[in-house]
Amino acid sequence: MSCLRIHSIQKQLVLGVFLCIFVATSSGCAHRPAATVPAKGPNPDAKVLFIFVDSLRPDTVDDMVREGKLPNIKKFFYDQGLRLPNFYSSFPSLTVNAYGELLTGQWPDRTGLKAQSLFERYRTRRKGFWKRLFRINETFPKRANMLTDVEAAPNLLKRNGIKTLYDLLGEKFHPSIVPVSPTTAPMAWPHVAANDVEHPYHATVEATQKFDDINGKYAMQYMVSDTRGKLFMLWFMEMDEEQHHEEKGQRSDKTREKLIKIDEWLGKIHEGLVRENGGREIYLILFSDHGAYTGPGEVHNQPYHIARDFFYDTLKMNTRGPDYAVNHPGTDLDRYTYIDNMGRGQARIFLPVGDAQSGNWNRPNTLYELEHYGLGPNRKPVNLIRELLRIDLSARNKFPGQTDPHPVRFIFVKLAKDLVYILGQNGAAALLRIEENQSKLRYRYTPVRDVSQDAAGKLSWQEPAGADPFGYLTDPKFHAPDASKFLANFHDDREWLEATYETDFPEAVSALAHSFSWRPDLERLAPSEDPDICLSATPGWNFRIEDTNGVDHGAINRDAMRATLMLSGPNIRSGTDTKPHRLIDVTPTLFQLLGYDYSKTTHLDSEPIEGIYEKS
Amino acid sequence: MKSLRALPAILLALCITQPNALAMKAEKGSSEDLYWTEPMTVHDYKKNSDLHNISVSIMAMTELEFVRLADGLYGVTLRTKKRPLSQSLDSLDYAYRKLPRIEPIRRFGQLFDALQLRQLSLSDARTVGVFMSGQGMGGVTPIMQVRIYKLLVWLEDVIYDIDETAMFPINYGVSRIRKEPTKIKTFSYAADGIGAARWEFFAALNVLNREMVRIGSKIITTLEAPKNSSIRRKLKKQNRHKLIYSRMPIEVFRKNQSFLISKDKNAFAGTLGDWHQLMLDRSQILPPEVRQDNIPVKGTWLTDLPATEVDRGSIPVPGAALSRNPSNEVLVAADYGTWEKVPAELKHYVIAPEELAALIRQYEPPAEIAERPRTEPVIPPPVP
Repeated sequence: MSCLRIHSIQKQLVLGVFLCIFVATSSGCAHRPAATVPAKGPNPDAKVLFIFVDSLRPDTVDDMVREGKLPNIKKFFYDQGLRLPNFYSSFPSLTVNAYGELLTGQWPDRTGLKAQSLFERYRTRRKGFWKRLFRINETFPKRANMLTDVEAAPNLLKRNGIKTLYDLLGEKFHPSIVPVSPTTAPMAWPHVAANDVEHPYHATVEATQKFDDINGKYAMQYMVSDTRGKLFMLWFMEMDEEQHHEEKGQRSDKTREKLIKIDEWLGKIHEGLVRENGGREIYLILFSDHGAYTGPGEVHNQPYHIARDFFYDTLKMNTRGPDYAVNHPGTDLDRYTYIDNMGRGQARIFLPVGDAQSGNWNRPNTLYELEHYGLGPNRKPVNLIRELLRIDLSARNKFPGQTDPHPVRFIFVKLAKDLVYILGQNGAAALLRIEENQSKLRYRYTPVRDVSQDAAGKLSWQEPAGADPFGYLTDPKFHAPDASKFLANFHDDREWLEATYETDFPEAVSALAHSFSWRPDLERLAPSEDPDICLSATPGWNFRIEDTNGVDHGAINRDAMRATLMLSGPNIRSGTDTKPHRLIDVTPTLFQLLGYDYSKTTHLDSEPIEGIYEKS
Repeated sequence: MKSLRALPAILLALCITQPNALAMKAEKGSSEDLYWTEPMTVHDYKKNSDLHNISVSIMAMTELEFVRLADGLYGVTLRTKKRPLSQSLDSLDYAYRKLPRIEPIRRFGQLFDALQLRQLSLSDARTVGVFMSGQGMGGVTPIMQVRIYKLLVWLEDVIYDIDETAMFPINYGVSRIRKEPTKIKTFSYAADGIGAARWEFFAALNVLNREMVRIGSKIITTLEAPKNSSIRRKLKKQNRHKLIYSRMPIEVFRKNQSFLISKDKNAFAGTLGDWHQLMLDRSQILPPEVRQDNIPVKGTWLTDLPATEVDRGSIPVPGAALSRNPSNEVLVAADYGTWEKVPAELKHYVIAPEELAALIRQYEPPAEIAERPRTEPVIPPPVP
């Protein structure tokens, strides 16, 4: 009897305890910071879903929304939310360095992450501990393809002392596979991939083709249920991959199918995150790292394998790149030129000093050396700058009269640490001067003519010039009351962006300056890592090694530089912000949305975008 | 191009890394095409027969979920495309989502999710087997790591809940007195500690995983090395008679002629005048574009003719420069087997067949020499 009573008391106690926990935890849930929001500014304790669609052009989104193909994007960013149609990438307009800017909120001159491929002429740092211990040799010049060598970019940032989103946010940052990450892939990603492919015995090949779907499924399975994550970043790259092989680029149905799928994933993931967030709305960001350019009249770009057809065939040089090598039989394979055309709208050329056969990699060549470049003991020296601009592909141009037969649109040569020479296909030239004032950079872009350098290194040029390579002097969309007066003075990043954002070459001056300059603490890397010559392709051409027609990025023109940025979520105002913005503005904006105070932990080169919230 | 980016990530994620040297399509007539020079390797990420891909596939197979396997078996047996197990679990998931999102239900859902029951796979069986047989931790597979990670997070969240529940009356009172929200923590510090330890531990585990994967990849690359060498050897043997042309000052030639001219070596050296004469006498040893087929062949010396390509694009070639005194230099044709062994210094003097052709075309012999019939080229005597 007493035993029965004890059991009954126990039961009541247990029930009571459970009831207490149930009530208390339920009330605890209700007690947590919730929908009370300030009139202006981001929601506290917010979650952000960051949809990164590689290479997506804002006009593609506009078109597809108009056609009713993107219901979720329409709902979040057109019916509500804010669109920023004047959002620009950096130069070269490539994924790894653009994403590097997003990760760090800093210009490439501060991070050292300047392209998708790294070429080091000589050692600039001490050998690593293990390499010293086991006496492992490191040979220079050293090349790293940061697309395939996944550790290269994170290592570079770490080496240069740069803090990134993953360092600062820790477990609050939950990415899928993204272009730069120290962990390569999230832990559960391989499992999702293995079970998503149809034929696991072809896992690698199939997973590459289903990359976006695997990322979407990963997000549904592992991001939605993540109670620690605040910033969920998903990289969708199939659209970019597709457009490189589609003659119509982002206008082709095949490419657009990819965006339709992304739109579906966006809807599903958003729904899941909101559900798991107790019904509280989250922030949504639609972002692309750069745009994509075509030929005039939207004709496709034609491939010009500059390493093979010009440097190897014409100049008889051995050439290497991030994903190819073309050597002459019987030659010394250690004598070569390195052409980084990864991101085929541009090419960064690294040459041995003075002569193709010199094997001297002590520094970049001077302008004089480039104009009198030696091709070995059996050939006449060549003026590389002139020959590159002279390349004429009229005989194989599929669109005569429409596409300019000269594949090289611009040549950029760094003349000094604060001076860049810009030479256009039209013969116009300019000098870009960089000055540092209280750790802020300012630039002057001066149209010039007859730039030359003598053997002793003395530079000379003539001013003024009637035209400039970017056409700012005559462009009615150049925002300055008097273009000549504007060009006569130094201006900062903001002023240059505001002046140029509607021209054919928006953001070109700032982007070039940051691409070629180095902040004092990294200046020592310049002689080792600066290219000798940098090229930007003419619309209608690319420097592709594959014989395919499509569209590209990497170049400095408007279509390649213009990217997508749209925001939506609590307190984000509706409509369009036509003011110009740039990639590094996104990082501080993200921190602001997350309520993260970055001022004590890192330096950012920009400020949060203003005016994105509703007015009280 | 981005798939390239994704590929190593996928490979690494699937427990293998991508070697740096991607297999390339070699340019015709290039050193890569003829002699498989670096960085050509047998590794080709596009081929299913690639060793790296095979390893990844094996790993991927062990990641297959039992649910998928059971559905597959059901489908094969009954010849249907239905997936009853997956569909039942989807329905269960759907029903769970319809429940009110109150904390206990969420925590239960979180625990269920942390156990990753649906994700049970062959690799788990492998892990269990490893533990049962006491063979160490080597079999802790990615999904098991996920399980441990998620369970720790669940545990931390439960501790936070308990703390919040226990401290609710105190926090409520203090908040009312202070007139601002106050959160006094007790057990939560333990959860914070577990969280910090979890983060650090898994960061270290990530590094360890990466290193193990890298070692695995190196082992496979090492296994591929003999195949690479064998292909290189075979191609070098096959194409050893391809001619390599060079043009060098006579002093350089004399210094190195022992490498080129001897009984067992196939090389021909002569001045530009000799070569010009040769064009008349033995045109078959010359590049096809300069050969004059109407001139009868008098002998057969080096019969393997060079493959040349000069028709790529319409860009004017800057041109090989004729030196002021062509007789002071020597033009050498050596087969690759011979040339491969010459000092690196000589390799800077290599010229392309079309450059040789251009030189011969440009050459204007002195009148008296042009008239003199020549049958044998001049070979400078070897240096004793």
